[in-house]
Amino acid sequence: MAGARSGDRSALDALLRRHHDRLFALCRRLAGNDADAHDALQEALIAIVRGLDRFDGRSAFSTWSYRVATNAALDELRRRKRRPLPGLPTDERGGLVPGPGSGRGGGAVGRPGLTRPGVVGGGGHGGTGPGIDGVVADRLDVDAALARLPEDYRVAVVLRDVCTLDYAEIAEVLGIPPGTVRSRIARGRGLLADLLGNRDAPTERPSTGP
Amino acid sequence: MTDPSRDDLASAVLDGLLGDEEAAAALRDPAVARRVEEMRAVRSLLQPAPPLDAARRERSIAAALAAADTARTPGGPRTPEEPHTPAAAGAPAGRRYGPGFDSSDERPAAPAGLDERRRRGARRAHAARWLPAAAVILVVLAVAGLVAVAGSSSDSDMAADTASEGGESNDTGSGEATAESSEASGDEQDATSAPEESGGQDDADASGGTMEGSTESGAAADSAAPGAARSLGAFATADDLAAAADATAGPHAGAALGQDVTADEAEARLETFAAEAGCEPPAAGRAGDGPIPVLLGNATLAGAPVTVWVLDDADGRRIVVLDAACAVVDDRVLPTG
Repeated sequence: MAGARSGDRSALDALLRRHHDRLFALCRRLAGNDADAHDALQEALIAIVRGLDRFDGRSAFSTWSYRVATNAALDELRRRKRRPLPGLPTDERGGLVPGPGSGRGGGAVGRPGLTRPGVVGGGGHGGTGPGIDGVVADRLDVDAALARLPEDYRVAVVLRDVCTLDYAEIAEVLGIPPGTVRSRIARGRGLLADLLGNRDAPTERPSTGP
Repeated sequence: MTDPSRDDLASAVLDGLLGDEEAAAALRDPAVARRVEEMRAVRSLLQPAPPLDAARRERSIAAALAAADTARTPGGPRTPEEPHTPAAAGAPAGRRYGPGFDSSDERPAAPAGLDERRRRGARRAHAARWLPAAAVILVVLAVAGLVAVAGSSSDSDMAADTASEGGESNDTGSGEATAESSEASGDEQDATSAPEESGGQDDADASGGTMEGSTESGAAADSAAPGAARSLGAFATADDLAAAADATAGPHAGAALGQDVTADEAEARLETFAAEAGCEPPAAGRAGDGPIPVLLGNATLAGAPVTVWVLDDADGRRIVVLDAACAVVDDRVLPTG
């Protein structure tokens, strides 16, 4: 870390490599697709290397870098919000709309606790079984469900369930009280379970509150 | 239907936030137990992030290293392994589009990677700054030429004087052009050098000083294109900083969007500010038809370097302060007048 801050290129290279994959995972889940995730990650890495001199060390580097990457991914999302996801129907707010047969439970996919949904409607992959098609369909489902979550919930859930940060770390990344983190994670998980499960998907996005 | 209290309980069980007895009691409720399993299944779906393209991984790291090198060495040459073009840096063709990148929200003809985007912002600012100066120089030269053609002996002295004035203008222009050339060759370091009042790279500081000096040399250039970050100084409180930023920004721009400043110009300023600050514009800066970005400043707030955005709209003057991680540390609206 000290070497990277002092301009040691190899140290900076090692630092970026050490943190690259977990930052990509964060960006990927927040952005919802590979292309935007790579753009967001690139923005984040550049912001990190440029801000390294100003990183004061009061928080862990990982926490700070998560914060930078989260902001980059959300900025990327805002820039892209008027662009529809390729191949998936969206409503006027950029959210996915249920397709035929969605929302009331499609075919079971054999995952414990969940049955195939309906959040990704009519995408042509409903009812797929195991295999590459099923994997791709699952990925689309997860991305689509995440995209339907309010931003505050999505970030909290991703930081917890993808990045495996604890509540205190998430609170530090987001600058909010741990109690709020806990609430957002619970609401986000609940909505995701609804969206990916076999119950009716909510028809409106809930308010995230202050 | 989602039951918030049940979700809270299930989520707490899943994360092990409850004691053994509390968790056991919660799981005796079949609805909670089912919810826990559903949430566990959701988590298992989220955790394996989609596979990462190794080639893109290398390119993104290389691009970040190149950005670091550029920040440290203004205008320094790039080595072949340090890509800086969108294609080389891994920005796929045709994907950089949308608001702020091209006139259309649909797919544009050409991609604009991060570096390219920043260069565009810098070019826009430079063009707006230098076009009036170039026009003045041309007029002076034209007048000098006309006077020389008129050619009386008494007029010769005047022509010499005029030519002398033209020479001075050219001197100024060439000096500024040198500064511009320096910025153009290394416009990325501009984005990061200015805020580094505490312990930044020497080269970067020198670059920031050059930029600041050239900005302060021409108030007219500033009003035409307020694209250069101003150094506001060090402040103990956000109130003091806001007051200084307000004073530095000058009179409120009013609700002049569409008159004095077009939406495109406002967007271009935002992009320029973003390139200089190394941060995306604050959300308030992207709102609908306004506001008008009027000032980007660098300052130290309570010992920490910050960037200050001053944005004017019909409701007043908004001052947004971002820390080194581009997070908002202060956001306030000052009433007009």
